[in-house]
Amino acid sequence: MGWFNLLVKDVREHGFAMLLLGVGFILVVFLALEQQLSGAFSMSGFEVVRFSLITNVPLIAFILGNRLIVKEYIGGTRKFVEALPIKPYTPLLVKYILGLFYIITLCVLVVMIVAGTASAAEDIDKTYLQLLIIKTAAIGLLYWSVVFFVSLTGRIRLVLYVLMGLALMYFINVPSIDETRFAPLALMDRQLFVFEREIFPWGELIQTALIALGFVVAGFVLALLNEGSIAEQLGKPISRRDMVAFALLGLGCMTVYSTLQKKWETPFYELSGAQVIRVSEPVIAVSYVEDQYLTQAQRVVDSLQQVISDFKADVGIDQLPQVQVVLNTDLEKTEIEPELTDGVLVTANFIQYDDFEYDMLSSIAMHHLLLSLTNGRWDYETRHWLLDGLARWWADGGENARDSVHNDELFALALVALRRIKLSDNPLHTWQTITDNYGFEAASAMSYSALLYLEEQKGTDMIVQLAADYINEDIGSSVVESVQSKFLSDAARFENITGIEFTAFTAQWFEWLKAKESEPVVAELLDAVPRIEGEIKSVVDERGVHRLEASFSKREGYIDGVEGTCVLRHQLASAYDRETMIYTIERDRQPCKTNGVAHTIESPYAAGDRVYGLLEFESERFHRPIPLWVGRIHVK
Amino acid sequence: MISLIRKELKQLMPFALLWFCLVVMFYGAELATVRIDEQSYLGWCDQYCDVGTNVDIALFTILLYMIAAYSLFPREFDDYTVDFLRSLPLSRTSIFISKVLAAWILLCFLLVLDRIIQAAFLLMNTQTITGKHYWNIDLQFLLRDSLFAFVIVAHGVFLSWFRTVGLILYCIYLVSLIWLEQAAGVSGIYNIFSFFNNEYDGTNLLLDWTTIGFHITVALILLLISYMLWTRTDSKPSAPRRGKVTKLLLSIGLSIVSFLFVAGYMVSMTQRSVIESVDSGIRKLQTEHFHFSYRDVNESAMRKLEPFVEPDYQALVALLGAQTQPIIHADMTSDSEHALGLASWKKIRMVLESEDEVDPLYRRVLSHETAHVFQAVESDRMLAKAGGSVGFFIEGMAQYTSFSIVPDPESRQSNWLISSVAWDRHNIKFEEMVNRSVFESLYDPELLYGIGDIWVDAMAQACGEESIGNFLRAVKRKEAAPNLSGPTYWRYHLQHIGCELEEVNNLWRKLMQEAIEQQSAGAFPYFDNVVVTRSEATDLITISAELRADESGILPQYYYLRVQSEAKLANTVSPVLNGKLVTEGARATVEFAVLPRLIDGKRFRYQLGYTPVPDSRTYFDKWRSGAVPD
Repeated sequence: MGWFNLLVKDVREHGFAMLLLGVGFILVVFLALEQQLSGAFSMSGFEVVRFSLITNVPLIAFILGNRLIVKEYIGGTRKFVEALPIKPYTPLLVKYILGLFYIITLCVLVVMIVAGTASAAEDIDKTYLQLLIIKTAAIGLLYWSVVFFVSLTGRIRLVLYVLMGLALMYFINVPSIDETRFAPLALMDRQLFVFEREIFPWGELIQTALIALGFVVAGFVLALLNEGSIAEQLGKPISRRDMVAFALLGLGCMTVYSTLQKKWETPFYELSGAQVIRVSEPVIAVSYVEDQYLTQAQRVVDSLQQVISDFKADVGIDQLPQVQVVLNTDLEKTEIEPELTDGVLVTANFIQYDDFEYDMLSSIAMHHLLLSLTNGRWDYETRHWLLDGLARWWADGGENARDSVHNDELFALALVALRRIKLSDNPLHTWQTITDNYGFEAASAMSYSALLYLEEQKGTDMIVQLAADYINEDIGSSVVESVQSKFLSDAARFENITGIEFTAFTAQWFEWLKAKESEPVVAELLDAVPRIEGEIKSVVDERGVHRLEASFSKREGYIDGVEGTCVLRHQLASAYDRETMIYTIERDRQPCKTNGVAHTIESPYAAGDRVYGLLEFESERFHRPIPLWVGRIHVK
Repeated sequence: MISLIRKELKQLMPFALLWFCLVVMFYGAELATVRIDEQSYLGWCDQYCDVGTNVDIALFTILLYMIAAYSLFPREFDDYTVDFLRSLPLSRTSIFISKVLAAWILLCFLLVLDRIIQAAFLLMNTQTITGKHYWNIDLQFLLRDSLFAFVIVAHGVFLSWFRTVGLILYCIYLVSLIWLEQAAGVSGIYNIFSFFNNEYDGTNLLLDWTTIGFHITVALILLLISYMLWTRTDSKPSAPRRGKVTKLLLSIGLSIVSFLFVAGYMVSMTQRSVIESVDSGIRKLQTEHFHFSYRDVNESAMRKLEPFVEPDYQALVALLGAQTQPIIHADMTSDSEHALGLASWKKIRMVLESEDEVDPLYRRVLSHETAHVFQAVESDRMLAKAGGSVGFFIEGMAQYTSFSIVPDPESRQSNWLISSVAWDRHNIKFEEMVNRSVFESLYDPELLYGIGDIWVDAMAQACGEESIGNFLRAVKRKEAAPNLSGPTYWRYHLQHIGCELEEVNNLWRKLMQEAIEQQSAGAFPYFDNVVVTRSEATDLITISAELRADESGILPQYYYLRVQSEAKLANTVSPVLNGKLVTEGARATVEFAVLPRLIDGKRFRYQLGYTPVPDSRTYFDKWRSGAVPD
């Protein structure tokens, strides 16, 4: 009857606390039940059972484990018990059974409380109740078994709990794992746990019981192996050696973490359907959704085929990712949305494109093709100019780019931006700011002109060599790549390849570009852009209405009567700056007047908001609007 | 005192080690998978910096700090080491203060260290925009988090006197907060999670000093109580009986009070359910595929609904080509003000009030919810697993099938019109529809029903009606990658059933454009010159807007305002308030009065809306930002 005496001893020692815990537990269950019933989207009171299994029951199990097992093992009082003439596993078995009985009682109790207070409309029958009780008890069994094992790990138990919690969180949250297919999580499925009334998940129940058994066996082995010396050691304060072990455990977890990052084989996404033109060399597909747009789609295919074939030949690459273009007639003509999905996927509205726009589309597709070849690294700020420039360079004919019919417009775009740029920093090194302030079209035009200058100085082969150097690089995705980049800056790399000192190159390129101002067509285009600067302010009018107001002032060389429209655009911005562009379609179009307020619109923003504002100039002489002012406004 | 603090810090080393392990795991994973010279401040900060409250982060932080606080006193008492401390020439006050201070100092040190590590990593990013460091925000976070650490340490020190039972007390506190949010909409300053509520004024983090002040006051009171408890508690059983007896009496007292509370509560609940079943009388009705529960007052309505339920069920089975025909338990006793029907797995819960004749609305709601059951069963729950990527399809498909089975052209037409106008005015994109949280942060969440219905109609036209059921079964196939989301999810799964997303989207846009062009009824005015004011006398917040009629030249009769509730824990519904139309000659204005308690903090979001067609759904404008005037 040794086991009985031990049971009485444990009940005497912990009975009152267990009673208190039980009361607290029931209190929480009732609160949760009340909260559930008053919830806006409450389906069933039995959801409280699952809620309790996720929150209260593990907590109770943890507390009980602490009292029943941890205290004796850390305090060393178990030695008195072990000195008694009983089998060495008996005290542990008594504790396990007592704890299990208690936890399962609470689990069953919560089901019974909910069933007792449920409305008759819940349609509770015997099978449903049995099903709920069995599932709840199985989870209770697992919890107690886990706690039983971890409680025997002494001082490291908290670390183990945290690690197990993190692993569970990871398992649940990582999108590449479907946790609902594995026990015990499958048993706890949000929908099945409460709302499956007929099917008994025997497989999951058995798996859960086996996992629980595994923990119990591990617990007994830990406690009894070598006469309990391991458990005793674990009960002692943490030594430096233990600390090292923890660190190793942490590293082990990291390894598991990276191993679990399972790469799922997804089928290759290829545009399908009757309205798709597909060519295989290079792999290009264009979807045109309606037969009436076939001609335009063919033009896109031809343009891309030319550009990508030239690129392949120049750089000498055999295999390239596919490039797919999707027609979306809902987009504005100027909206081109690229993404890296199984190669390059560009969405655009190309039904009213002219040559310039087709080249712009090719340029953006090339941009992402180059980005995909360099593991997304080429848009790092100090080398991004090269990516933009090369994409445009190949889109405009590669070695024939110097004779492109779009050069005058691109030079003018670059020069307009250059007028506003403060040249204290090398613009090619502050590419994020350049793109943010002057628009990606102007940034692209600037970098393109820089490459044309380089080509003029060093020949076409130098451009290709520069591109090949980046394309053929093996790019990693970890901190190693970041550290490696610090050893060879992009400026130094440029110098190594071209033999031109980067700062000198920038200065010479500026001069070369400025000289283009005097070319008649460029000069004419430059005169078609008003020399004004603007600013947006947030004001509150006399009625208390928040408004955004923009006004313009003359710059040096102002010419009156320039044809075109000034446009105000805006969108909510975060407190943190990021590279962005405006996605809203609302535009306030007004004449570009320099006396007084040019734009005044009602603002949907409130005090404290941050607004990304843009003033741009639209003219028939340019394919794209020209940014005049970009800034982030703090609404006060 | 300094020596004592040093000793306590040494005792807290295991906790510091735990923190170190977590840091190693987090940064190790980051360094192994991310090029840190591309990682921005926001990239490191992630959800911690997001506007609003991140409950998960707050809960994790509370748990971590609780571990530190719990390791201060109980072990010292359980291992009797407190007796050695007390034998030293030190006052009990200094022992108590040094312990609390040590924990707080350690947590502050770890917070500073974490900031330093992040700042050091951010230094690697030299890019001009994404490499920016926000020192002012960093300092504000640090200040707030340090105070938070103090508050949680105080909670922990107090709760640890009750040992592990203290955790149950904390659990009760958290569940009560959820309850309060559901009952009152907001839990106000009582909510400890409000501490972690991020609100920005430009590039400044706003600290809610009212909440912080309240919790610090509570923390100080708790510390005072804890001081009295811990300094008067003895360690050993052989110690004077007074402490133990007091503790025992307190425990018994607490136990009795709790039992009385639970018993009273249980009796009241039992009474309530008894009264409910007597008063309303629940009846059952069983058909081949439905087990209905309903109130006897709705007997007539239920009997009139009955002849339709099986044919409607079979019509749905045929439409979807369903491979299984689940038995559905339908609880028709819901009296929810927020949803006519809800469904989960094989259960439906819906409102049934009509007593005279079967309103086609109820028949359609039942069909709608039955469609949700089939979505879950046919896809083996995989559709719901895709979460935000499929929200529009889940509701849209249920709308499509229910309108197909229980036609109501007028109602459907008005739904389509409202959705199409919203699509046109707000420039709603498919990419936003496949991200439910983004969609709901920008537009009226209920738009997903109508806009989804049009999308599913386009899918049925482009790929055949059988594609709807085929899609449900396609998403559950074992080889389907579970990590797909957004447009990619749709491209891959539609490709599997021989359907092209771009074709569906193109048709979807055309259908919406047609709905706008064929508009023959309804008024969709614009809201202009919105002003938010606050009455000094009543504290009532008034939102007024001028109305500018659309081409129809008429104005709707009913206006609504939806204020975003700042509930942090509970899944509550944003309150919708009625507006008053004021006309002065040609000028029309609508005014809404908002109770201050509906707005948590200084900032809020709201949507203005109206019913454009009599008895139609409400059309809501985009979300706007508002600030309570000083």
